[in-house]
Amino acid sequence: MKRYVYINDDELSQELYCDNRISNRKYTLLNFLPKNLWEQFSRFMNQYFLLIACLQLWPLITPVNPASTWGPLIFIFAVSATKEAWDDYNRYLSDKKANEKEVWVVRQGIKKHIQAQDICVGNVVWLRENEEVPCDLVLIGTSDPQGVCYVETAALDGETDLKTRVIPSACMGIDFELLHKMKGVIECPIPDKDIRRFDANLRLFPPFIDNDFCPLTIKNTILQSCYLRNTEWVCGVAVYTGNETKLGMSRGIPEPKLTAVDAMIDKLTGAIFVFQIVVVIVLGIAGNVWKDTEAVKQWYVLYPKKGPWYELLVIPLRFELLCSIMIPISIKVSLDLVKSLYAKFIDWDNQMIDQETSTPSHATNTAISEDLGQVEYILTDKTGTLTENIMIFRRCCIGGIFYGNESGDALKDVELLNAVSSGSPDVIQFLTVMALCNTVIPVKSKTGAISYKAQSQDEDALVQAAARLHMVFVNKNANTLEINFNASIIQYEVLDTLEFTSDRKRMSVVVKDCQNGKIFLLSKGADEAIIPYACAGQQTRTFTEAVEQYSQLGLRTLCLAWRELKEDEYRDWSLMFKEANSTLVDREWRLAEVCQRLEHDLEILGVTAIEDRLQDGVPETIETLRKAGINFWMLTGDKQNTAIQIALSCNFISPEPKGQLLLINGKTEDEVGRSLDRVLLTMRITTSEPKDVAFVIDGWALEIALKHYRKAFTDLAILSRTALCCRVTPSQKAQLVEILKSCDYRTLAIGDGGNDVRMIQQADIGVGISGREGLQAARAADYSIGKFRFLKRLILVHGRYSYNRTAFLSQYSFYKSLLICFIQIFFSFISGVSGTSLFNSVSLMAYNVFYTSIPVLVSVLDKDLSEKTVMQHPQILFYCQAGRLLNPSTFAGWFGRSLFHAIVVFVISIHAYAYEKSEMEEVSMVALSGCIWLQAFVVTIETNSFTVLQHLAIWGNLAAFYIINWILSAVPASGLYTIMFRLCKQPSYWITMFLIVVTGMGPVLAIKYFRYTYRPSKINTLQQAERLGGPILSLGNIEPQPRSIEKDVSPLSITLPKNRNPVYEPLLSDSPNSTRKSFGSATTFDFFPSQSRLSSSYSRNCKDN
Amino acid sequence: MDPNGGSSSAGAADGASDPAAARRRHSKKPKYSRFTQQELPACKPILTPGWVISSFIFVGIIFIPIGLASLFASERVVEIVHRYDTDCVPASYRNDMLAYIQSNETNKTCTRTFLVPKQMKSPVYIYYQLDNFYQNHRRYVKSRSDKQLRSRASENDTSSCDPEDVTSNKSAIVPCGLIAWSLFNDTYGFSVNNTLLGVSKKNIAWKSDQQHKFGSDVYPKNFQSGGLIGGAKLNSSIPLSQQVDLIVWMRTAALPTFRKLYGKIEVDLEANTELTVVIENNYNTYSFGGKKKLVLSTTSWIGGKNDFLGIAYITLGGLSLFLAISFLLIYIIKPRPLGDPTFLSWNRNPAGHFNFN
Repeated sequence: MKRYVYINDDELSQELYCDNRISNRKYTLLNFLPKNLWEQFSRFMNQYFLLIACLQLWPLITPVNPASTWGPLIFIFAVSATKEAWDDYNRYLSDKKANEKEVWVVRQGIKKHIQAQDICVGNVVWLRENEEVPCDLVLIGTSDPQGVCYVETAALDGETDLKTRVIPSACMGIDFELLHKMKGVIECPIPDKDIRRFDANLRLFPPFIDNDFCPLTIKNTILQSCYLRNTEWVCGVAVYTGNETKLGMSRGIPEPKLTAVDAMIDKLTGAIFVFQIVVVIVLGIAGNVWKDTEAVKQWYVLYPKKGPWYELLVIPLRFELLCSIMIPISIKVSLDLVKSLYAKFIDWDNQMIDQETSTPSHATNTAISEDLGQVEYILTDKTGTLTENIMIFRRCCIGGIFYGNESGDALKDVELLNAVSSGSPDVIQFLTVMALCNTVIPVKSKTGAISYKAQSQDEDALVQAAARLHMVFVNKNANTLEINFNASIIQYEVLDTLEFTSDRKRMSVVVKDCQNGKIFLLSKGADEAIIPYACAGQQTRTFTEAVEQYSQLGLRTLCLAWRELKEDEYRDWSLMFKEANSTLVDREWRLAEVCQRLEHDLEILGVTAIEDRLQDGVPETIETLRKAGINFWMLTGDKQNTAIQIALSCNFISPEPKGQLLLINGKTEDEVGRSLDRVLLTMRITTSEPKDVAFVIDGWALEIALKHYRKAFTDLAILSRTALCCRVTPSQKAQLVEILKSCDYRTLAIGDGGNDVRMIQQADIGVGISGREGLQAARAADYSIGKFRFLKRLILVHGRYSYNRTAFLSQYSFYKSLLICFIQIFFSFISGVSGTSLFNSVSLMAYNVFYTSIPVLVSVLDKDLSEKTVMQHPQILFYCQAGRLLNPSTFAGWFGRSLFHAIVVFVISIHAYAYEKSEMEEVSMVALSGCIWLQAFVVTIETNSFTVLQHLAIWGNLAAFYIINWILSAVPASGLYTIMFRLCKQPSYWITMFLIVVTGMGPVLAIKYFRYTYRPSKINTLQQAERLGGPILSLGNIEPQPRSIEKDVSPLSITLPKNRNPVYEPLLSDSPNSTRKSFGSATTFDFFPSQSRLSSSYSRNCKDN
Repeated sequence: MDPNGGSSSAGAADGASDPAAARRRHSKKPKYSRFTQQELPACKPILTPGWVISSFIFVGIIFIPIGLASLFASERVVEIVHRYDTDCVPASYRNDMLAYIQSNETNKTCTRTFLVPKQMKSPVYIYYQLDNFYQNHRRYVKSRSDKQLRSRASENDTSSCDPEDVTSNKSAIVPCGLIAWSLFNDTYGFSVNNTLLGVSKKNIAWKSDQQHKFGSDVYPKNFQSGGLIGGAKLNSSIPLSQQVDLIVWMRTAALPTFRKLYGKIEVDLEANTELTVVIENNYNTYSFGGKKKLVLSTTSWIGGKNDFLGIAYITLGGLSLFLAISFLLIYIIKPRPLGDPTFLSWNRNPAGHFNFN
């Protein structure tokens, strides 16, 4: 499972590994047609249509010209094939551009200019500044004497800061003339997609120095698609090429997501299919019976005495073909079309542009807009999603003294400034750690101003704050750090960096003071990762209190600590560290273990508190969406207290007495189990009370709960409208999504960072915030938005409209197909059940593809309620969530309507055009016109808002119907010759049309009016209120409640640890008895097991009104 | 509302230092238009009682007069329907009418007389009506060749005419197919007071059919020459475009009961005139129990006699008025304010919780 890369060995690796040709293409020129057809035909609908089309080639049974099915079928296939081909061609072009880029590569010891696609594994590649990296390279040389280079990895992970990359120690100091003669072997893992890990070894062959293994990490590589910056040149060995690079491996076409609406449409299609089969069987039998009893007497039909063996099948198959239009062939095309328009509306929406960065919202996945309107659970990340992810250093506690508590800003605290200028050693040590213990790179601009490039916003905040307190981190020169403190330069040499991982929750650096040669370990990290390792004897109580106090204010805390290391202690440890660093297996775990050996007996210096402000509009957004019946879960890596505070400040949970928090904790299986049971019991009691109950769980307990009490936890998940999960890992986030999905909830996951990617991909809908943590989340997501508050608009406006529109469009498609199909069925009863088609081929084809498709497509502009009303009454989203507009019962309504309309059209046509007028073509055209008229009025009555385009489409279509038929009537060769002219001249034709329209629409209008006025749905009531401008608009209005942490926090003072926020204590009550006591009226003991029950009782409630 | 207002101020901050970047950023933004923002001006009608009730009243007011007019027109049409299929069979054959009609020896001529009830203005249209005759049967309706009818060149285009496509010696039948083969062959001769009334066949077929669907160079060939004789024979010296009876017959009917134009009497028939018809009763409807009727009818602006539209209009108009009045009464007795916020359950329960009781 390893790959050995021989540097500069031209023969060896060429056949072994693929070349550097990048290919994102799905098809080639040769396999396009078969492969694309195969893919299209793997869909059931298409198979069905193909079968129908093939049956139509048999002239004995086809009721109409085969072109009426083949035409639309080929059209539909051509449309999707063209789209695929176009996409693939664009991919081919961009691949070609990347493949044909010229790069400098060493071949047979000479530097050559070759195309990027010819790079082989083991080749030495030279790059210049600002060039794109063509494949994954292990660095062996740079222009920098220290062996450092900078790369921009935005294309890979979306992070825009520059990252440092260094050459492996073994290659240090090799003359660049010798680089292309270098020989050696790199032992590296087989290609994978982890862009954060590269656990490999390098061994150079003589004459190049040592025989030792030199460990390689991701720090020694530059990956494909990164850009080289601020470095004159680098040279590296290709280790992964072509589609085997880290980027290539992480590519992949994501699984298409199926929306609930699509699933429902498929289900209804299946039902219609069954209905069709039943009709075919019944009519087939009837037809055969009629033939045997009646048709033999009809001498003019000349039925042969004995037919062929398939005789019995002929009539059923004819009816199958006649009824095949029941399943509208156009529905997929129409849906694809409108869905891409929904996505475009999201892209175009001016109100969802982040004004700060001018980033518009974007729908990457164009197929799932309806699902947005049916969201039941939102799982949200905290940092960067709810908050701005702009870290500001606010307070600190140094050696037991609190700074910044009065003013809310430690940088303006006079005491601290005094302490700095007086040179208090505690404070200076504290500041030193702040300035040094990080991976920040200072960049000096031409004017001399220093800016910092940091991967972590917290580190950036700390370094900035240190600089404000006169401890300026000036320069980082390879391993030397320069600090300017009170105008004197202090230099430190970085010996080792013990990196941050989410398991260790801390990072440390080992530095050597260049002046006195002392070695220090400087650490910073989460309180639980630092305080337990304090040296014996140090009082940590103040720090624990400080952490608690700060986190109650919603601030992010970090503990800073240090320790002086003895020379020999460090030397011993350093060897172990080096060894661990070069292991290939479980390197991360080994490293953590080794780091642990150094990070103990720390002297804790203090606690920093960093504020991360809530984004604008977060509380309002959450409140609106919660009113809309959406349940919120917050999944965060932060501490419990911080999470609770943020949750309170953004309306996530309500303070007592309205809200109640239930805590699930415990370190062992038993404890967690008991805690879980208790919470479940409380939940069940309190579901009957109008009260916000939320549970809080931390990562550790969650791990146990997921492992041992999955069922109980699932029950809890169903009961709980709100949950806070703290200290959770990315995979736990994904697991939580999984649990909710397994209970058949529509989930939406929103996040901004790389740690949210798994959750985003797992959820039904993934929303990424294109924020400061890079674009990783936004890329993996189905929708990317600039700010959390746009979620409100995304769901309530775009999601809701999309759902409503698709619900109408899909049901209407079935309605119009059923309408014409029922007429055909009725006609068969007066045509000897022989399977004659009343309509001719041209009319049938045009009816499905043209006359009835265009008016309905403009329903994408329909708005039942204005955006403002929806925002004021978010509860209305319930209709979409519960699928009230598209379900078997609404579909039954449409089915009934099509049956009724078919009867109206058929009966009126054959009676008005009886006797001497009963000419086939005329009757057929009368019935067809009747259908067209009716459908125009059906679209009209179902449309809520008419724009110019709608009028144009509906009435223009009606006009177009006549124009097209006049044209057809003017062609002598067509079957319709002169028919339309004749009809239009007859007063009885027009009288018949009006009769059909009024008979068909009168009852529909009457029923609709009656329901609208006397049994109005909430939507109707709001429509009425909206248009009559009643007082409703002020009722139920959500007053904007500008709330920020500062506002809530400001009255709190230093005395807080003793005198806690009165809200806080009872909030965390977790025994059912306490709740009962506080809420004496817990009499109605009702248990609602699921949201669906909840919905149904709600709907019952609605009906009672 | 100015959607660009915010961004221009935000753009100014960094736009000064890097105008190119600012422009690039700006171009990322979608262009504003009312369509893209879904803000096209729209009218949103709602079903107010006033609107609905008045539209029903309107329909009632419009429909009843139209219905009366249609009914009146239909009533003014004078129509004589005379069924002759059984009456024209001699009493001795009544038990086996099929044998009578299929026999070549029997005398098929039959004389019937009837009174003209009201004055019939010319032109008086003569129809024959067949009941229970499925001209729309799939096997029948498809059995024709439009190409062959249209031009002589496609004489052999008989593939769709099965089973009456070719004679036993494989030469094409013109006109081929079941429809032509089963051409109606009863004839009528009219006389009043022993004076013969001329039956005009002029313009009984559609002019468009004569000009474009039936060729003037296509002459009947091998027609009704097989063992099985269906219906009428055609004079093979007259081109198809002049065979008006065939052309009328070939316009298949959509319903199993249909009338086809036989001819016109171009004189007025006074009331109480005794009309004598001499019927050549040749066509076999006896095997399937079909009726044959002779129909004489005048016409009006609405067509022949058909009360359906008139009755339907009057009924519908009445129903509309009835609905309008009942809606009005309900509205008056039990007024229901539109858009009453109390109907919103969440307004009653301000906590935002659903009411479970």
